[in-house]
Amino acid sequence: MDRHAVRGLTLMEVTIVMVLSTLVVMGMISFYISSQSTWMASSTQVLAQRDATLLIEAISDSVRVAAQAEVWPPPDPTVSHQDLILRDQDGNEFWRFWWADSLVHQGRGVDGVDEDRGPVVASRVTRFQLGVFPGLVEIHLVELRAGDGQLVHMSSAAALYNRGAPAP
Amino acid sequence: MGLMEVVVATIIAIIAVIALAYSFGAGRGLVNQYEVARIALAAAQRRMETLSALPDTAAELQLGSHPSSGTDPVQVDGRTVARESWTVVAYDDPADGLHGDLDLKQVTATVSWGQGGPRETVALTRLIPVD
Repeated sequence: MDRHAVRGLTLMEVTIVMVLSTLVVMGMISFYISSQSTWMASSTQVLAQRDATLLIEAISDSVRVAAQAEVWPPPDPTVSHQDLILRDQDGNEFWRFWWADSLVHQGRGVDGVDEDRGPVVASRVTRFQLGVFPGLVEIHLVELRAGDGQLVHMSSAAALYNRGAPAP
Repeated sequence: MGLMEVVVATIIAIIAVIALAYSFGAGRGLVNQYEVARIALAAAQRRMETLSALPDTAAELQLGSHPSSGTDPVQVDGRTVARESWTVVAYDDPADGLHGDLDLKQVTATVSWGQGGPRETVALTRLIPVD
């Protein structure tokens, strides 16, 4: 066997290999931590976005079957949270949405007491601002806080399609 | 394993890691892009619901393109994220046996966003009855 082929590695070669390996491993660890953080931020952001859409859809679905709507307290930019009370053609309340403990709850208001059916979505809502116009409920702003602290904003509107119809 | 092999392996590993890092960055970009897409869709729905709550004689429901300025800003919490416009065209119900009469109004609400690159658009169409 050629003597040169079995001479092994010199100290310099071993040192260079170890330095390179260390750099690669450190880079991979850094990449893993960074990608994990990006993954978590993206996931929580997507969850908050999905919850914002679900919340707006839930409100819109209820508004569309209502005949009348009422917002309390009255629209005011300084008010962060409002209640949305939905009534049938006879003026009886059949559903409401309200903000409590950082979540938007839904249920029925009976004799001034909220019959809570639980939060609409699990994401924390930091602002829930509404407005009522003739035949229309405007969701001025739904602001949700994602798990990583970022805020998700959305707004929409829903028409009171049952405003001229018999009680649901 | 010789030094040359280690160097080659290192370069390949670095290229692979950079590619993975890029894919994560691209994924994050898509999340942000879809955030605006969701806002735009909600804005288009809002416009459609607002128009459907108006009487047929409202200025916003006259045949043609609206608004007169071309587009209106879509604002969320005071921040303009997109621009919206809508068109109203006459729609002849093919089932009523009459040709050319105004049975319905076909409203198309369009919301566009994006700067610098290709503009993204979401459009919703609905038929509104004529009183």
